Amino acid sequence: MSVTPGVLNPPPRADRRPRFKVGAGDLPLLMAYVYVVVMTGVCLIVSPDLIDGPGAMSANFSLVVPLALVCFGQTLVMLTRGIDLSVGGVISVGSALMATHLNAKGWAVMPEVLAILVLGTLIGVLNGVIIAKTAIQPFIVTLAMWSIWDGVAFGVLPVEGGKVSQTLTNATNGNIVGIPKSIWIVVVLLVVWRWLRQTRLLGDLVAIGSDENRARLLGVRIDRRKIEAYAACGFLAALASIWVTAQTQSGSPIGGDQFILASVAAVVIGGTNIFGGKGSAASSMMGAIAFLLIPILVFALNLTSFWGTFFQGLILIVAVTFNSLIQTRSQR
Amino acid sequence: MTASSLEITGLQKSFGGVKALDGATLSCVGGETHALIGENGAGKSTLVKVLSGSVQPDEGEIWLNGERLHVSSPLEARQAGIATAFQELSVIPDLSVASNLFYGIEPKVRAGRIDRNSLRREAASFLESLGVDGIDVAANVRELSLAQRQVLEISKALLREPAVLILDEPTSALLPEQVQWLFAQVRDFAQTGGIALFISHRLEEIESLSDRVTVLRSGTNVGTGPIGEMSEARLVEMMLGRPVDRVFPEQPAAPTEQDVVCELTDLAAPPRLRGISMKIHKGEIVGVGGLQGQGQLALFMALFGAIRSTGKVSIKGKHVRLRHPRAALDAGIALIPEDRASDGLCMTLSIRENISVGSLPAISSWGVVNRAKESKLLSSAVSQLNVKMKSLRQEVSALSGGNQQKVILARVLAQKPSVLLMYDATRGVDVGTKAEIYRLMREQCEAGTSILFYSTDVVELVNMADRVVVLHDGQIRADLHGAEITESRIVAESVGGGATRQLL
Amino acid sequence: MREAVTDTLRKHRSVVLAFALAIVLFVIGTVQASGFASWDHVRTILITSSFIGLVGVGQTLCMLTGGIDLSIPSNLAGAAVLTAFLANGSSASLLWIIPLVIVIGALIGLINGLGVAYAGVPPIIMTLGMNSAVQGLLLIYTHGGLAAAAPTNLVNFVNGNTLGLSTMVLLWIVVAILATVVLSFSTFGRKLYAVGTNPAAARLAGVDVRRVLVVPYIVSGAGAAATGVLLLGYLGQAFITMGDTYLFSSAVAVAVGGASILGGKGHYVGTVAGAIILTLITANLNLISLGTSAIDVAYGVILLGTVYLASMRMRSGQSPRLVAMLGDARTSIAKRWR
Repeated sequence: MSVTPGVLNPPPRADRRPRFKVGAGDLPLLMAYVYVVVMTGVCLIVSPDLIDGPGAMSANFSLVVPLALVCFGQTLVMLTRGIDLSVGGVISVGSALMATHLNAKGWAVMPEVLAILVLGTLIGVLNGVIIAKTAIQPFIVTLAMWSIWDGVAFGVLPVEGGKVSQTLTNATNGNIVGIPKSIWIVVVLLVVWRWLRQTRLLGDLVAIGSDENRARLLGVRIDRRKIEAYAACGFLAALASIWVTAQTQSGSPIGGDQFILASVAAVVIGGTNIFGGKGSAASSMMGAIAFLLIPILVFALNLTSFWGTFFQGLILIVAVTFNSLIQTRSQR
Repeated sequence: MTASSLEITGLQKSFGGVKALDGATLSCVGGETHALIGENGAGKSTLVKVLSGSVQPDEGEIWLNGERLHVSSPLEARQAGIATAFQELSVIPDLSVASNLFYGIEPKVRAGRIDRNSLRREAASFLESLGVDGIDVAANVRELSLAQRQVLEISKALLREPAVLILDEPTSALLPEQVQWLFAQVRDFAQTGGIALFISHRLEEIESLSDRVTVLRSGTNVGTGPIGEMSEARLVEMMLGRPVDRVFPEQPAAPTEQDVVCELTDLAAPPRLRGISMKIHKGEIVGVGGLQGQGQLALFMALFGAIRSTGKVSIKGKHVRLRHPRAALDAGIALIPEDRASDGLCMTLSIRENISVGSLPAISSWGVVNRAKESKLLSSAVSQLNVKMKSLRQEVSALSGGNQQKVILARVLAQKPSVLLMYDATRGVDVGTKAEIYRLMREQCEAGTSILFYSTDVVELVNMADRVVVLHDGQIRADLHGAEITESRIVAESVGGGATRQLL
Repeated sequence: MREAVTDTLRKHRSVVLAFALAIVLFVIGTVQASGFASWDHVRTILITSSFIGLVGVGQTLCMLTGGIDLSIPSNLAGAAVLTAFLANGSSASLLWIIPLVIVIGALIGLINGLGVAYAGVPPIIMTLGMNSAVQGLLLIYTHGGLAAAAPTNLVNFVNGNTLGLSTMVLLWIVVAILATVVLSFSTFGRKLYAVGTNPAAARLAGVDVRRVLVVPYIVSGAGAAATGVLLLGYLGQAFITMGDTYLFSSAVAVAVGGASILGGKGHYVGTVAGAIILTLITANLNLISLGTSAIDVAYGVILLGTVYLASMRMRSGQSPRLVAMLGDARTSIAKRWR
């Protein structure tokens, strides 16, 4: 069989392959970096202390950690064209439980911490099972779960407060080899993402989000992968819950609610395709930073903090509209 | 891998109330290329899905090399040595060519990681060894043309070095050289002792490639034998269950030149449709042919205002702007879409609602639906088409495929079009309903409606069309009239224009 | 004729069941507490349900098209707070304030609708962002959301009676009739059901899908605003969080009423039943001293349960491939251009 050039394919026509691997579909993924750079720049110009000042980095990253954890999981879920609204409930219930039951010191916290992680994972598994085995859309399932677990959180801890173990707070504060633990965690997450990108799990999630019917033909274990994605999301939300409660030293029965908007916004700003098939947890974490820079910017510009709430909602609307328009077009 | 034999017995499969396989059997030996033919809806694709593990049969047995197989998932099919190139292509658009080629069989490195670079190298060298070039292994499948995707799908199956290679309509978009390449691959494969199962609509290809053929009809095996012993007429008769001429209504003599009802000037919708200029006359049936993926869908969508297009369209001399299907309908153009379930019907709504929704302006006043006008519309539509149903309030999902198609027809005809667009309207429809649809088409023409219809079935084009335009690469390559309309001519124009070849 | 009635009953089986459930819950309540069936208590239940029901009109339309409106809480609260602030106790100014506030609500809904219909944004994300944005604006305007008092005329109007019935209930009945007429008898209703079931097919049948898809969100926005004004009158004051429970209660009421979350099925009459059911459940739970916690859990469980049942009904008798395809019918026809 001769290998004559061009024998098997007609000469390429108008739709030439792009020279660089970056096409219109990649634009959203890069925008997050642009947002962060621009906003950090503005902040540095207007009020440098907020970023450069003593302890600023550590304080800022301490806020980044829980959102980075949650939006990592949210990215996995959104890759499959799903969404997880129950992260709010997981964080709330985790926070409520920790503030009322975890009063141990030293290593004795471990079993209780593990219990919270297991609970979060199980909630995620439940989400995944229902979504995989029934025709119910993810947003309804996780909306219902959010209500359920927020309700449980309320039952456990009706008002904010409670007592949080000092061990946990100490564990999340401080530095390792001079760098704040919060930054280490973000680094670890980035490393985990790099590894994850090359695994079968992620390939399957992308396939499911890109074209579920064809993925089924390929033999992808769709149910199993969806359950894994939601379980991971629940686990990460539980981790976030532990961090937040340890840092604020107080439990909140509605503490998780803000994370729903924040994580979805982070993922959207980060450029992950909400219709599935393309995305990056690293970009989502960038998006998380961009999202969290908004209140800082607002403070720097001397506006009332409520502008932060407004802009956070606005940036989600703008980013998702922008992404939807591009991503629908590139489907053609 | 080698295979000594593949035996399928008593396969039964129903979807809802519809029986797709009814005691189907198949028998192949190692080293042979076995063709599986049958009409749309005969059960071929279901059989393929059962063998590849996507679908579980209700009853039946599969024996490979004398051992009973339970293929309950695509993974098990692969482990059993069955590889399939699917008709609808199992390639994921957002993944690279290399990732798709090696999907599920990636060479792993440490800690479950897949080495992307070595994957690309191996993919490139594999494609080279097959003689495939022009496909960038790092490109996303989304960037490939339909023909390239088909080549990829076939290569993917070959890569798995299976014992049983299943090819479901692998040539629908391929050019002649590519078809030759495929044949060479299949012959090489057969020489290694494997079994190749080849499903196709093109009898010429079957005759040249396969050793034996099995005909499926209504989910059953109605005939098997060596290809040399089966004449084309006999095969077609087995496929249809009745002689060909009983299905198609008599074709009237070539109509005298009529008024131009619709004129297209440079109608284009890049990248698929590159510029179509043609005239459609009153009462004319124009068939649209060509290989798959040459712009036929784009033409229909553009003419119906469903996608943006450039160029001019005029109806009865008046220029119309087709920005939306509503504009097309107002101008007298109506469409019967490709896929009943996803584009044609609202499955959970009633027959009544599905038919009425296309004519809402005509049956309502002041924004409220006029029940009397609606009833009149419905009763005339339903009787004209002979839709078999229990009541108008029935959900359309409960109807058979043929009756569902009739509901769509009812809706479209109630829109009183002067130009009727039919895109593969007889796909997956039983022979009886097909005959009714053909009869209806003739009736409409006699009443003055013009029809533009696309079909993958060349026999349909030959028997129904007064003219056939063959599309290639988004443009008209040939405009055949009267006696020029023959199967071989249409196929010739589809693949290369001009000379017919021995193969065809 | 009789066949038409039984067919209709069977088709709207879920609505019939919903009303049956409401009756059962009512009976359970009467068993538990003697005052439950008193005219006063029934009136209270109906009024409480009417708020959910009014918000539920828009939510029903949104869910019929496979979407949802998460911006109801801040829309509702915003309208109430804005009215209270602008009126500043004066009842006369309500004449221009109330229409203004409702128009603002409709505009918010319009933005939601444009995003969903024309940009293709998933409704959940669009309305989620909108909720936060509107809440932000509200906080900015009120400098932190101090409660504000309602003008007396409004309070009297809402809490009083008209034509022998509570004004709220009467309003609800009027709205329900309107909604039913539109959904069942108008061309818009037909288009809405078609779009909710299969947007691609509706488009190819000649329906302007995008224009139809905007309307539910406009209605929801205006409805939430109107309900906010009414709630202001009912409670006598406005505060930032007053709309929060209506998010879940409206969505659950719609689901319980039998609207398949996949869109295309269901009817406002079902939502009416759903609103009453939810109020009765809350009342019953209060009787056994279970507070907000149990109610939240109950809402979530009920939502899951009813949607699951609806999805089961869709599944029966249809091939799995068809069900999967129905899920994919959400995408526009542009999707097949690969």
